Parts: sequence; C-alpha cells; structure tokens
Amino acid sequence: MSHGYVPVGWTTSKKLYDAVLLLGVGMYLAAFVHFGAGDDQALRIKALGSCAFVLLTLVLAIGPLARLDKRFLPLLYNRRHAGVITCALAAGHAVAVLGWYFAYSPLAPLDALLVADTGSGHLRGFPFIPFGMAALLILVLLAVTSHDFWLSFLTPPVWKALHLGVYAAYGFVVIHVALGAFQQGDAFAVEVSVLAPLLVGLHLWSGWREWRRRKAAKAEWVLAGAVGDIAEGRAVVVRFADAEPVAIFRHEGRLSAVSHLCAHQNGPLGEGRVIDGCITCPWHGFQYRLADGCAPPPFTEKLATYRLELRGLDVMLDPRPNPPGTYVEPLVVA
Amino acid sequence: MAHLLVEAVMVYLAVGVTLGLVFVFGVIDRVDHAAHGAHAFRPLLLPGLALLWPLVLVRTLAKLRGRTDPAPSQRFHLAAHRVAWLVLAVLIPVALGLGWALSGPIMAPLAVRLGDAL
Repeated sequence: MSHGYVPVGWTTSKKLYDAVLLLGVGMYLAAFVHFGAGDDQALRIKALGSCAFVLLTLVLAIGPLARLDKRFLPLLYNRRHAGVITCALAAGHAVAVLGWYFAYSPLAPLDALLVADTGSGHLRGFPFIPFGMAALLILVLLAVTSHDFWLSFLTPPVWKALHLGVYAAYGFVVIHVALGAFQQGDAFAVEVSVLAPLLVGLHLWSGWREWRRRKAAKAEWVLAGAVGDIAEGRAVVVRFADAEPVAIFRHEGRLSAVSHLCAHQNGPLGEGRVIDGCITCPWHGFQYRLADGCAPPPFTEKLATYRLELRGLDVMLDPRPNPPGTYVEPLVVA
Repeated sequence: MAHLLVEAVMVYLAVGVTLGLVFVFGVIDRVDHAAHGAHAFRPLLLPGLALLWPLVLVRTLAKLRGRTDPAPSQRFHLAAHRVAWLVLAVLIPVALGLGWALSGPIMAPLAVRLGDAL
C-alpha cells in the first residue's frame, strides 16, 4: 500500500486543479485591487485577507458538498493544496500588515504587533489582531503538516484531531473580521456576513442528512444485485438515497462488503481492484483486508464492514455498517 | 514583555530547526519505512518539525522503543466534527451580530467610549 514519499504526488488532474485555483486567486486579487476603494497598499492587504477567507470557506465547504453530492469528490481529493494556498494568502496578509502598519514603529514590527492597540474608533477593549494571529498560527500548523508523512507519523487520529483546528481558525477569522473590518465599514464585511452563515448552514444541512441516513440505515436487508454481476477481483457499488455507498468485492469465489470510501482521502474503493488479497484504492494504493476492512500491519486505517447474505442468486446486503475493522466472514458464492 | 515573547518563540523555532535537521537526515529512516530512498520531500518537513518538535520527539522515542499505536477510531473525529459545527453555528452569528451592532450608529460611540475607559 505504501510507496516512497514524494514532495507532491502530481497527476494531470492535480496540475489542472492547481492551475485553475491559482488563476482564480490571481483574478480575485486583481479584481479586488482594481475595483476596491482606498489606497493601494491597504487594498492589497485587504485583498489578501479577503481572498484567504473566501478560499478557506470553499475548503470547508468541499466536505459537506461531497457528502451531499459525490460529484464534488474530486475537489475533496485535492483539498490540501487549496488549504496550503489559503495559508500562503493569510501569511501574505500578515506580512503586508507588518510591513505597512508597523513599519515605522519605534519597536520591531513583531514586538509592535503584540502590543498594538486596535486604534481609535475601534473597539479598543476587544482587539481583533490576536484573533487573526491565532487563526494564522493554526493555518500554518495545518499547512506544514499537510504532507502524507505527517498523517503516517502522527497516526490518523492525532493528525485528524490536529486538523480539526481548522474550525477554530475559521471562528477566529470571523471574529477577527467582525471586530476589525466591520468597524471600518468595509464591503468585505458583507462578504463575510453572507459566506460564513452559508457555510454553517451547509454543514448543518449535511449533518442533518447524515442523521437521517443513520436512521434510514436501520432498514431491513436490501437487494444488492445478482452474484453474476460481480467480476472476480472487482466490486459493485451499492448506492442508497440516504446512506453511504457500499462496495461488494468478489475474491476467490467469496464476497465481502466494505465502505466505498477509502479511509485515507475518501477515494472510490469500489473502483479499485483486489491486489495481493487486499482491496486497493485506485487513488493512492491504500490497501485493506477483505474480511475486516483493516489495512495490513503496520498500517492502521480501518473501514466499516457490512453483512451479506445469499438468497438464491441474489446478494442481500445489511445496510447498517459495522464499526470499522469488524470481522465479517466472507460469503462463499462459488 | 512582547520582546521577550518574540525572543522565546525564536529560540523555540531554532531548537526545532536543529532537531528537525537531525530528524530528516538521521532518524526518519528508522521511524518510517516509506522514507527509505526518498529524499526530495524531506525539506518540506522542516517547518512542521520546527513547530511541532516536542511532539515529534515524543513520537520518535515511542516508535524507536517499538510501542504500538492504539487502534484508530473514526468516532471521535466524527463527534468532534459535529460539536465543532454546532459551536460555530452559535459563535458565528453572535460574532457577526456583535460586529454589525458595534459598527452601527448607536453602539459605535459607546464602544469607543468603553475602549477609552478600559
């Protein structure tokens, strides 16, 4: 399953994705500076901050969008690149602020930033700069640990827990803007006021659907298809209106059912093959054992497994997922 | 005080970079077999090593001692994800409402006065 690390696992689609992303960022920055009001340097600072916020919102929207509609999954696949670009934009915003508002301070710029008042006319009791600094620190932490090495070295639970920090970063950014740009009457305030609630709504909607899916998963056994439809070493994917898709693999005359989504980056496992007795994800080659959905040692990823039953030539599937890594005896069909 | 804090951060990062260099050129092969023969990616790790060096130190020692990792669970992650968005669902409207209110004609002068008083 594992392969030697490379700096970036470039593919044609990743290059295209990044090119579109960078082009979009460039156009946004140019448009912001061109159409915005105010002096050039202040506009550049706001453009970088605004662009970072929009990109962070998009990054956080990809997850629920992919859960609501699987056509968004290709975006999920390359989400880390968007996150790193977001961090670069936020860092650019901070550097520009340091180089402009604190350049002529008698203190060193970093020292001045830490003791800065938010300025007359602002809510002095609640300075907004620390919230921006906290958000930037989190974004930097996430960007510098985005390589696959960190996922493996820290273990997926620790890595994922660390990367949950992105939600705190988003909250800090909103507070940073609410106590900062809002107080200056910027158009940016309108942008944040629209996008942030939309993102929250999207996540709540997706979560509600997930909750409904779990209720629906209490249904009885469902017909997955005919035995003959499943080719040796391959899978069929069973999709539900309100439940996660399930991949049913056939290997050496036996059937096993696991989640269609790879535990690594939600790659489409059902489009993969059985190689060396393991389900192999077509995206990164992550492998899982058929019977229990566990990655072979020393790897630790696990998939949810499902129960199967044979009724005549029909394969029946219990849509209620077992806890990830649960052993299920493969169903003998030939 | 601010200067001391900045200096402390610089020292922390300098220690992290030094340990990071030792890690990427001397230790990484012993704790991750996928790093064998792969060198181009290693400089990318340095910023993370500089920031997270205490955690890296603990993890490296655990790995070198052969300690096995506990089985991962998706439940914590999913539950934390739910809690995070429920918190943001409250925090974001409150922050935006506060931001708008404070910038409005009634609250803005009060906010300035409050700030001056503080």
